[in-house]
Order: sequence, then C-alpha cells, then structure tokens
Amino acid sequence: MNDFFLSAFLVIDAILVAPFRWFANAQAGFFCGLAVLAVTSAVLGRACAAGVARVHRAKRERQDAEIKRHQDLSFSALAAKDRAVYLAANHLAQEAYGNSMALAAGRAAALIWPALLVLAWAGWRFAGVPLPLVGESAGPAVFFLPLYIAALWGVSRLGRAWRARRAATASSDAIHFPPGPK
Amino acid sequence: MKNWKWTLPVGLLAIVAIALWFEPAFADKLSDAIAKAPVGAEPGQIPADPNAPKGFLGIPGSPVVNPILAFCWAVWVGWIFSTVGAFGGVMAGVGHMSVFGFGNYAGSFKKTAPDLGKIVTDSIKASNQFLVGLSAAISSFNYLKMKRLVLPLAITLGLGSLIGAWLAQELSAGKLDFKSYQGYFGLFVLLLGAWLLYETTPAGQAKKQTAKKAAQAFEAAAKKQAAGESLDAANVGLHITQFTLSTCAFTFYGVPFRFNPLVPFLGGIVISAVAAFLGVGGGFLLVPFLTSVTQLPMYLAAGTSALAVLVSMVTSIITLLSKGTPIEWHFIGLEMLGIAVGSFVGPMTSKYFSDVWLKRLFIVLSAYVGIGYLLAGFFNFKIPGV
Repeated sequence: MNDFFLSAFLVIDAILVAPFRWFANAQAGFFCGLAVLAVTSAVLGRACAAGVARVHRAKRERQDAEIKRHQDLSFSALAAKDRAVYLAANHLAQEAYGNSMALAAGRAAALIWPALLVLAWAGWRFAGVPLPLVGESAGPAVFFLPLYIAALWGVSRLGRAWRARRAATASSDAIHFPPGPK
Repeated sequence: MKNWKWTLPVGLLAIVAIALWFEPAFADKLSDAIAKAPVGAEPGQIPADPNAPKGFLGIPGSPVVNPILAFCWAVWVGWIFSTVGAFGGVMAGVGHMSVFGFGNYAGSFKKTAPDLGKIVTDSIKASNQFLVGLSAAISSFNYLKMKRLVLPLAITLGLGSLIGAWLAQELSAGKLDFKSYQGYFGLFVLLLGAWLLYETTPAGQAKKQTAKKAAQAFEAAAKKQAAGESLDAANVGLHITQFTLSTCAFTFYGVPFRFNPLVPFLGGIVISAVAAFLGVGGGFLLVPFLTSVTQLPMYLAAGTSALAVLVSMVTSIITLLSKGTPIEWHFIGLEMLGIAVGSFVGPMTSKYFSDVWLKRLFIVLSAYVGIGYLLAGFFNFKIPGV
C-alpha cells in the first residue's frame, strides 16, 4: 500500500513540478509554475464547488425559500408593528439559515481543497530553497496566495461572462425559433 | 470604500500572507521541542532510531495516518454537514483526537515533554479550526457580499471578535495541555448534545410550534386583508438613527430597535474566544446571539455576523502562525477534499434516512463523546472508543 502511495505521489509531483521547468530562467520558471498551479487550483476548485452546488440545488433552494418566506413574513410583521410575530418568524428564519450554512461549508471545502494541497506540496518542494525576492525568509505561500486570489477572481469573472453570453444566446434563439402553433 | 467587497477580503488575506512570510522562522520551535523530548521506546518518548517513521507533523514515531482513513473520515464529516448540519465540526475534532490517535500521542508527552505535547495540542486545535472555521468563513463571505449589514454593529462585533480570538490564542497557544483541551471540548460537545436533546423534547417542540403557529396566523390574516396598507417608502429598509458609545438605535421597516453597542462587543469577545479556544467556527453562535440579544432581523444578522466570522478566523490564523503552531497543510487539504465528496454524496443518500432518527443518533453520539472526553480530560477516566 505504501508503494502505491509513493508511486502516486511521485506522479503527482512530476505533474505539479512540470510548469516550473517551462522556462530556462529559474525565477521566471518559479513564477510561471506558481501561476499555472494557482489558475489550475482555482479552476478545479470552482468546478468541484459547482458540482457540489448542483447536487445541493434542490435542498438549497428549499432552504433558501424557507429562509426567504420567514424573512418576508418577519418584514410584514414589522410593517404591521407586530413584534411577537416578528420575533417568531425571525427565529424560524434563523433555524433555516443554520442548515443553509452547513451546506455552504461543503461547497467552501470543495472550492479550496486544491489550493491547500498545492500549498502543502509547494511548502515541501521548496523547503530550504531560497526563493526569488525573499530568499529563505518566506515560503512559497507568500507568492501563491495572491496569485490564487487573483485566479479565483478571474475565473469567477469569466464564469459570469460565459453565463451572460449563454443567456443572451438562448434568448436570441427563442426569437428565431418561436414555439409552434397552439 | 466603493470596492470594499474586494478590498476587505484581499486585505485580510494580505495580512495572512504577511503572517505566512514569517512562518519558516518559527519552524525551529517544533525542532527544539523534539530535541528536548526524552529518547526511548516508551510512550512520551522520541525513538532513538533516526530512521523511525515520521507521522503527524513529521515527528519521528508520531502516528502515521493512512490517507484512505483520513479521507473516509472527512467524507463522513462532509456527509454530516450536508445532512444533519453543524455537528460535522464536532466529528472533525473527534477524528483528529481519537480516530487518528493524535490526542493520545499529544497526551503521552504531558509529563515527559510538555512543550512538545502543547505544540501537538495546538496543531490539533488549529486543524479543527481550519477545517471547520475556514469553510464557515468562506461561506459567510457570500452573505457579506450582499451588503446586508448594520455597519456600526458589524464593527463593534468584529472588534470584539478580533480581541476575543487574539486573547484566546495568545493565552492558550503553547500553554494548553491535551487533557485540558479534551475536557473543554467534551464539555462543549455535551452542551451541544443537550441543546439538540432539548429541541426534540415537547417543551422545545412547543416553542417551535408556537412560533410556527404565530407566523401562520399572521400570514393568513395578511392574505385576508384586501389590497393591504401601503407602506411609507421612507420607512422601508434600515435607518440608523443614533450611534453613541452607549446606544445604537435604528429603524427597520419603521420599527425602532435599540441596543447598547457594548453588548455585541462583549458578545463578540466571548463567542470568538470560545470558538478560537475550542477550534470551532463561531458563526453558529454569533447569529443566534444577534437575533436574540439585539433582536436584529435575520435578513441583516447573517451579513453582520459574516464580518465578525471573517475577522475572527483571520485573527486566529495570524495568532496561531505567529506563535509558531505547525500545520499539516496536506492533511487539511486531503480532509477538505473528503468533506467536499461527503457533501456531494450527502443529499443523494439523505432520502434513505429519517431526519428524526439521524438527530437522535447524533444526540447519543454527542452524549457519548462529550462524557467520554470530559471524563478523560478532567478525571483521567477512559471509556472505550474515545
């Protein structure tokens, strides 16, 4: 079993270290490698979170609807100056929120696990190695985290643009292909 | 402050990055503690053989956890998160302490090498917090983005959380032996179980039913009202009318609310300190605190508490790292993957389980684990399995 894990680790190590060797210059290779891993972690994390969110959809929508219903009710009670009903509805909304948060924890875990594994690998790979600009005073996390945040932001923007484009295409298709006669 | 929803998290993460910058400088703390530990083959000793297998934190002779076991346990934790709720955090702690054997290992150094035992205890605590708190903090961020918050309240709560998290880590990091941590964690689990049990009792159910009935009655009455009264547009939404050191007053939908800002400040300190000390996320305590003590609407409580959760988490991370607490990132990453898989599987399988029976199962589990940890931690009396 240990041989299996060692072999698996060596394969993963070879894959992760490859982008660091794309440039002959060590500094350029280091930043290129970290950037590639940051983007890959962000894309993989987003994909996993989207997968978990898809499976959670029915339950999440049910819980979100419950939160919204109790919230709306609490607003109506406030508007009617009925404090007792407001507190009751607010309490019910809070319970539904607790369940919704526990579901969200799963999606958050799906989002960040690749980055944590890359951080762990980079920490091991570059242990004791003087890094560009900081020497041995810092670990690779100092470079990886900002790159990862930027990659997450970029992937999020691209995803939003892609969804908007798909929605626009779908609406134009509806104009070109109207429903058949009733 | 127009782009605060980006500048805030990026700023917080920049602080974490700066803290990580100094991380290698503290690596020697663990090596020093290992060097001070007695050499031998007994529990509480470091093996003389330099080639002894290195497990948790790379300490020679420490428990070597099978990655498959760690992954499977994390799947179980994720499954609980997606079906039962917050009890997953407790199970994550049980995994680190009992299933993987880190607890016994840390406890074995109590008399022989207390420094090493305390470092391992801090690492277990930090692992729990990263696993549960980090997910909660990221989830909270979505609520923060919605900008549904009472800013003065968020600031006082956030400030309290910062102080609480810092104090807890500052006072406990490097000073807490495993037995004490286990005892307090057990007490927390027992209280959680007692609360779950109360919710299933007729009294707990009656309270919920009363709330439901009141809400339904109001809903029905509102539907019967033809057209209904129109709201004054000026009254809709949140309006802060007064904010001083002793009073925060605001109206929401025209209804006045008033609280003393010291209350959320002190609440933030206590809740964040407890969460940081035990290594659990604080969000599940902050929201009920806000809705019950300040009577804040849930619409605003989730966003307002999110800032405090983020601040508390970042403070904990920085304080732990600055204290030189070693973290097994690959282990946390593997567990995060397991939680994600468990979260994926949970909704697919939950239809085969009764919610009521699951709740009862976890009440029994929390009672067993809670009593077990309490007895083992404070009275050195072990019951099987914990």
